[in-house]
Amino acid sequence: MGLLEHRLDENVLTTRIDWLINWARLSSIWPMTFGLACCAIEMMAVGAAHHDMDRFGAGAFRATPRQADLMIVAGTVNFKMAERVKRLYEQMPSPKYVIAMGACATGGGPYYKYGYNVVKGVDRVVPVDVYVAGCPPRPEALLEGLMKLQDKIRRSAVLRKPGLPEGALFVPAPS
Amino acid sequence: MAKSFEEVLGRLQALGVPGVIASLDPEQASKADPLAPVPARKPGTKGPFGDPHLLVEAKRIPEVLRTLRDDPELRFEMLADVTGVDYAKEAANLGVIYVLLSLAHHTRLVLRADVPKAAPRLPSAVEIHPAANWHEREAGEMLGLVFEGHPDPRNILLSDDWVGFPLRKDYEFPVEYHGISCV
Repeated sequence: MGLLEHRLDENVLTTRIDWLINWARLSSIWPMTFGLACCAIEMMAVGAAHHDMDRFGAGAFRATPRQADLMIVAGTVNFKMAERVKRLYEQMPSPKYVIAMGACATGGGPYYKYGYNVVKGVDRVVPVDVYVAGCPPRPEALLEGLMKLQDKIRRSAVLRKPGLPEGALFVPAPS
Repeated sequence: MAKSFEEVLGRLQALGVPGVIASLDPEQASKADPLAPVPARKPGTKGPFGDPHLLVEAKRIPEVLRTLRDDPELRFEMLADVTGVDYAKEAANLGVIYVLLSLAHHTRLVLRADVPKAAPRLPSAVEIHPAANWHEREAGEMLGLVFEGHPDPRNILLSDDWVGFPLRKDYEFPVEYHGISCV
């Protein structure tokens, strides 16, 4: 029948908890329905059929921060919006991730010098995991950003101490 | 039916609307007869003050707009835009621009009112043209214009506690807003 048939004795699978948790997290990153400017149009293209973000388990755009894992800051963040962005981030349950999509969210973009109302990078308001370059970025660029985020989640430590090699559960006793 | 700028001028002259200083080029308007037509420029050319427009006394704006809207010869029944201009840092006045459209006669008209920067107050046009509501809010927050009699004079784009008027030539950028660095 399936690929797994006769490969798992007694239907038992052994793995590391860290690997399992990270695998679960990176395989269903639900983004928040949230767009601020033209980057959001590209983000919608990524969610649509041709590029299909759902291949990475990240296609379920949630209409509330309380069900979202990922905030894609797609567009220009102005000071009036910055407070709302921060509040939305705080309403997301942990673990939560942020992608700064495009030049504006990364560092103010074309509004860096004369945009009196533009925040010079959303990382001044919320912590950013991945920056995606472009103005706006191609859909492929956002997909790569998503894969970079998956790599980051894959490396993250849930049970084992951060900084230890993968698989090591305990700090070795000092010799 | 008033089609051209000169015809609109002529009609206003015939009606005797107070407060209109008519001109293609406000600098050259005749002081003795401000409504006297100024020769039209060649189509497609622009003078030092842009497109042909009427210079209107700021406090007379509502009645001029009302006449332009209601007169069967004029029928400028749509207000397409209200905006403000800060011409220069050292200029004494701010300009307020009204762009009117006559759907009936398929023609446009631009009005300009000058208000002193020291006291930039003028009456609101919301009663005559409800479309002016949001335009006046934007012009107000961007240039510090005060539209007297506006039903809802809150900021429309900027935060309620924003300091300064961003489209003024002497505007200084904020250094910090609610703990977020602006530089």
